[in-house]
Amino acid sequence: MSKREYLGSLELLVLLAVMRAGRNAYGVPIAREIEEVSGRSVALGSIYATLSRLEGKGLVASELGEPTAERGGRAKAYFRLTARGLTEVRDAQSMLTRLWTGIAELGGRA
Amino acid sequence: MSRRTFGERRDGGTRTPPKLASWLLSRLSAIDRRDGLIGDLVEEYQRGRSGAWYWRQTLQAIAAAALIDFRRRRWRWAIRLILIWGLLIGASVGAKWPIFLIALDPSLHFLLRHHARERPESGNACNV
Repeated sequence: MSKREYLGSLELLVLLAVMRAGRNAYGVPIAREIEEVSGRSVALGSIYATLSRLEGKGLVASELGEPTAERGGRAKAYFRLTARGLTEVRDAQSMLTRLWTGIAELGGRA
Repeated sequence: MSRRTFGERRDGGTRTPPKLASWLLSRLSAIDRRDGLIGDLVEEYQRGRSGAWYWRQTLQAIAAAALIDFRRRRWRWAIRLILIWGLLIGASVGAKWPIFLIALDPSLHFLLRHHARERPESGNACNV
C-alpha cells in the first residue's frame, strides 16, 4: 500500500485560491485571493513553487495564455484543479471538519 | 521624482524592472512556468510596485527554487556541503589548493547553462 501524502497548509491554500479565482487563476489573482481571505501575504515565487509541486502530483493542470506587452512579452500561466485535485480538497475539508468538531475551545460540539 | 531602486529604469511611460533581478529570475529552472512568474512580477511592477518589492520577490523566488532543487537533487547539495567543508578545512590550515574545489560546485552550472525549455501544457484539467 502506497504511503498517502497529505496536503501541506500552503498547498491547500493555493488549491482553494485557484478554485476561487476560477478561469482567471494565474499567479497574481491567486496571490490576491490568499491575501484577501487569510490576511497573509505570500510571495509569488512560493506560489509558483507550490503550483509546481501540485502539478507534479497531478492535482492541478496548467495552460499558457497569450503573451502581452504589459508582461514583457510573457504569457500568463493559467491553473485549474484536476479531478484528483478536487478529490484531495474535498478529503481535506472532510478531515479538518472532523478534527475541529468536538473541540470546546473552538466552540465545537462532540 | 520618486526614488529608484538599483537597476530600475524608465523608458517613456514604461517602467523597466531591475535587469539583474530579471536575469537571476530567468535562471530559475527549478520553477516550472518560470516565464509565468516573471510575467506576473513584471505585470505587478507596471502597476506601480516598487523596485524594492521586485527585488524582494526575486530573492524569495530564488529561495523557493533552491528548496525545490534541494528536494529533487539532494546528491548535488551533499557534494556542495562536502566542498564547503573542504574549503573551510583548507582555509583553516592556510592551504591554497582548496580554492580550486569551487570549480567543482554544481551551482556554477546554474549560472552558465542555457535556459531550461518551458514545459508543454499539462492535460487532464477539469473545469472546476
